[in-house]
Amino acid sequence: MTYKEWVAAVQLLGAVLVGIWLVLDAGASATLDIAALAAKLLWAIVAVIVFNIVATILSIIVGSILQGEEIKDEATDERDRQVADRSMRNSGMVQSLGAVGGLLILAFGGPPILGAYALFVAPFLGGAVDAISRLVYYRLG
Amino acid sequence: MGKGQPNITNTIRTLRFQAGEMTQAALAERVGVTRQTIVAIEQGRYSPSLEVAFRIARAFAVPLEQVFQYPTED
Repeated sequence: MTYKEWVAAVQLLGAVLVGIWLVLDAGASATLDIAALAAKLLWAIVAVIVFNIVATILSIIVGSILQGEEIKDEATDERDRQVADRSMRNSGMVQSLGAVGGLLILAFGGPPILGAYALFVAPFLGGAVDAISRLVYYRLG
Repeated sequence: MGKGQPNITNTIRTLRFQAGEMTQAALAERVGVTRQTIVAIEQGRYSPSLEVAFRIARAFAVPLEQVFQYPTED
């Protein structure tokens, strides 16, 4: 795997872990008011950013040991830019749909707590789609 | 890449062999792209821009048509 694929894999892992945490924490968060939940989700975002940085560094070190050669980031070329553009397009669509979903929940009188979840989940889903897209485009073209 | 992509073939592997087993990394460095991009081009998974195509041809000192082939429609 290349450096860029490792980073995408770590990003995907982070999104999966967030998904698992959301499911496990759903019961505990159900009793929170909207402000408390929003604060909790903001802290979760900080935690994910820290996780992504640490996990990327660790995975590159472990990956380099497993592959027997140092995994270095190479200069970005036209294919990288094309992969990034296509992945970002997919990610943007998912994020937009998530945001629209959140607004629809609120527009139809749904619980505001679900709107907050939608605002939180949409970028993570977008991030996951971005990571999956990168992995697929790099592998399959 | 993408929908309706023409089936462009190439002879990069052969040209590398004829150039004294030039490595993909060496070709990538000459062309100014990553080794992964050369691998993808060689395997037909990525069609490069005209500029990169010309740079590849220049790296082997051959005309473009000798590197990339576009089959006629029948």
